[in-house]
Amino acid sequence: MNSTHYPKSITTLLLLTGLLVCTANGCRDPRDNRTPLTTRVTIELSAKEKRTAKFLNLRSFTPGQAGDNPKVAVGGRTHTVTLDPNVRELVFTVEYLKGNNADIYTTTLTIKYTCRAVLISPQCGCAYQYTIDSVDFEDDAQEVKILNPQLSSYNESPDVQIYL
Amino acid sequence: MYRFTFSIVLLHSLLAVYFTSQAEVYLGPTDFRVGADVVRPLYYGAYEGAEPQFEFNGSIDFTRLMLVGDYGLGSIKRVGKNTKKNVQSVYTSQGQYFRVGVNYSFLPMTPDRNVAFLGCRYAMSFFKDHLKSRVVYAHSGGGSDIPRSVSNGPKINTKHRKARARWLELVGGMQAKVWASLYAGLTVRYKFSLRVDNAPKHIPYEVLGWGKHDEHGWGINYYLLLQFPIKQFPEAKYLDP
Repeated sequence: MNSTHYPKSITTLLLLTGLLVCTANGCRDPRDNRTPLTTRVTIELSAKEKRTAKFLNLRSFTPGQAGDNPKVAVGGRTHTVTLDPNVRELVFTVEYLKGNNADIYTTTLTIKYTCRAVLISPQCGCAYQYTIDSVDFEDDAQEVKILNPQLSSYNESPDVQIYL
Repeated sequence: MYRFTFSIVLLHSLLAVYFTSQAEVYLGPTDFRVGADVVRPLYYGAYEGAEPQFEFNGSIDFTRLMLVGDYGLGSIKRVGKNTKKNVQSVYTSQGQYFRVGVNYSFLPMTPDRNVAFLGCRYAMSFFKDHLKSRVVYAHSGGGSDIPRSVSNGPKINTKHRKARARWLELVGGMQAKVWASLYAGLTVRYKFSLRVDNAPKHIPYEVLGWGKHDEHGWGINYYLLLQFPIKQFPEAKYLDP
């Protein structure tokens, strides 16, 4: 073998060994490992006539703040919101369609949640996992079901079902 | 009088096929077995260097069906350090668990009374635990769903005194006679539907009897058991293997 190949081979071997050591020991970034930490909640509107229940608009509501609040979502029977880790309650103003005449309704949606520490691994440390405690839909909801109270990116959608 | 004739004939035929025409029809218990998992204390005590865990097993054999109960106890201690952030984490847990269920044996009854079975279990665990660590990853909000690395995150030092967990299992395994009344057994478990109650302060990292906080998991047990016969059958009455 040509002598110039030896330094390259040794370098590659050392790099591979270093990579193996780095990945085998210590904390792995949670974005890469399988810990399913998420703050996203998927909400579904359901009605007897499914085509006539859907989100038109969903705005986050901050009490006391003047002006138009930022729009969060438009359209569809399901929508995913991201919980704010700095508070434990989120309120949304929701416009939605319902009924054969496609009447537009406005109401508020309140999501209350808590978080608990979860040990990713003893070599990593802790992160937070979020749990939905309650969901209130102020307008004539027949039933509000929390299908997945403990939020996880492995959960099958939706997490919350509002049956009108 | 003739209303139940067909049912009686059908039932008798089924029993005759099951037990063969020569066998005596007996539906009571035939033996009971008690044993212990022999690998678990060695695995946790010697291999993992942790506190040993123990598990005991008991069953009553009703020819094909077996009523089974398991009882386990022990403690857990997990220690590690995030060297980049200089954060030490310690998780300890102590408690006990039990499982109850039934097995169905696919082997015909022989003088050795070996069994190969499938079954199901309902399990419960009662434990207290303590988590001491620090938050190293947190969501920052603003629409981002990716937890970011944080420095000097909040310290975590929380305890649960009366946590409970419950789950279901599907099992398969076998027990074979080794010598006299001594049997060796192997049980493979698929565990699912874990529910943890009375644990509001942190997510339990590891649950006794279940394992680490995964959605589902596998387990295996190796038993040594002693058999105590209740009902003896003459050898000619046994089915051919």
